[in-house]
Amino acid sequence: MSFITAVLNQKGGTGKTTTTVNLGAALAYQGYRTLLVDLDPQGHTTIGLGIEPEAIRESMCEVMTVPKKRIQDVAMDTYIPGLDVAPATIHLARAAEQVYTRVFREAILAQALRGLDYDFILIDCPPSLGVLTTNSLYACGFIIIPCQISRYSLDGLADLLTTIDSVKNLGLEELFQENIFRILLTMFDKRNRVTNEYILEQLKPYQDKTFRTIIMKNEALNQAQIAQKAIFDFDPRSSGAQDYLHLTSEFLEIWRKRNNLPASPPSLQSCR
Amino acid sequence: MAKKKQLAGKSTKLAKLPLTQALARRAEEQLRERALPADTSISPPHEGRAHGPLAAAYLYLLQELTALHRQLTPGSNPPSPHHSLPYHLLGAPEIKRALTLARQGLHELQHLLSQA
Repeated sequence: MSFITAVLNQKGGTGKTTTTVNLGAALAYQGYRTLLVDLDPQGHTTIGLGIEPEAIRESMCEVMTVPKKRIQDVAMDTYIPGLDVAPATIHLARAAEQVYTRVFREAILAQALRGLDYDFILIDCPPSLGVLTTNSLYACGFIIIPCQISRYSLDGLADLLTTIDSVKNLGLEELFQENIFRILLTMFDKRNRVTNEYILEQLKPYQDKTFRTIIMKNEALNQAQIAQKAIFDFDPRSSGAQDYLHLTSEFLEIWRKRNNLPASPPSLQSCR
Repeated sequence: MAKKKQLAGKSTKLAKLPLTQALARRAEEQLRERALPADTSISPPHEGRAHGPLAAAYLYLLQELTALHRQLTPGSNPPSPHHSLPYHLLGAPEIKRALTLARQGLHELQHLLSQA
């Protein structure tokens, strides 16, 4: 059974796509069959892995709007062995409107992802709390919330947690006792001392719900986007590559715990 | 005004979330549990009260003072030292104050004992 994870934050520019691409690449390089579902009409996960919009015949737009359309029909190979992407184009924005008329509209994605032959499925969500995000929340078993060190990110996090609570139909106790979500601090800049102190203090109650790994601000991560490559292929020695490798280890730790699998050290050699 | 001071007391939507408050409460409880002394023979645990080596020492001091008080003023009924155990873990200034008070108490006792 695939471990379905939504990478989600309704605030834009928090590092959702960068996290989806690099975590997905690291998982694939470590030998896990991985599918990235691009649910953002901007299609940055798709573009980020070197697939140009002109090369896409069918996308997540069809999966969300055409009844019984299968993910297998739209999924494309990427340049990384073992890593596939279900691409998105700008048409997905219109599709979101059409979805509102369908029955069980929140469960469309969950149905489409059922029975796929992947170890991991990562969903890159759009920066909104609309029907596409609700679909990914309904389909996933785990949520990664990339969060920038800013006041507005904290407010966004509060709204998001309330939404998770209502969509997943969880009580307060379940939400904090179960391993349902993890906050991922991104674009961390050590020089912003006062802001960092304030935000980290506010996030203190969520210490157990926050990844130990912090993604530091790193220019190589921006450049890798331009090069349309995962950071491990663009600059494997960069701090960004190291941070995402650590994140992958932590993520796998959670997955192993969930599935009662023995702990295993991360395989650094398998990432380029 | 210093930039940091202007941030003080500014709350966020996240801080007001019931989940945040529940998690903060749990963290506080865990902190108290971690502070439990290994040897609780001196201080039987009291629910909801602060524990730890400092609390045990404080309680021991109170027990000794109460015993001395009983010896010096037979017939009086001083409150149980367990009731004087603080509800919260003591901070450094509070400990300093408590030790000053204890020293004053011991001086008074010494004075009383010299008269006896």
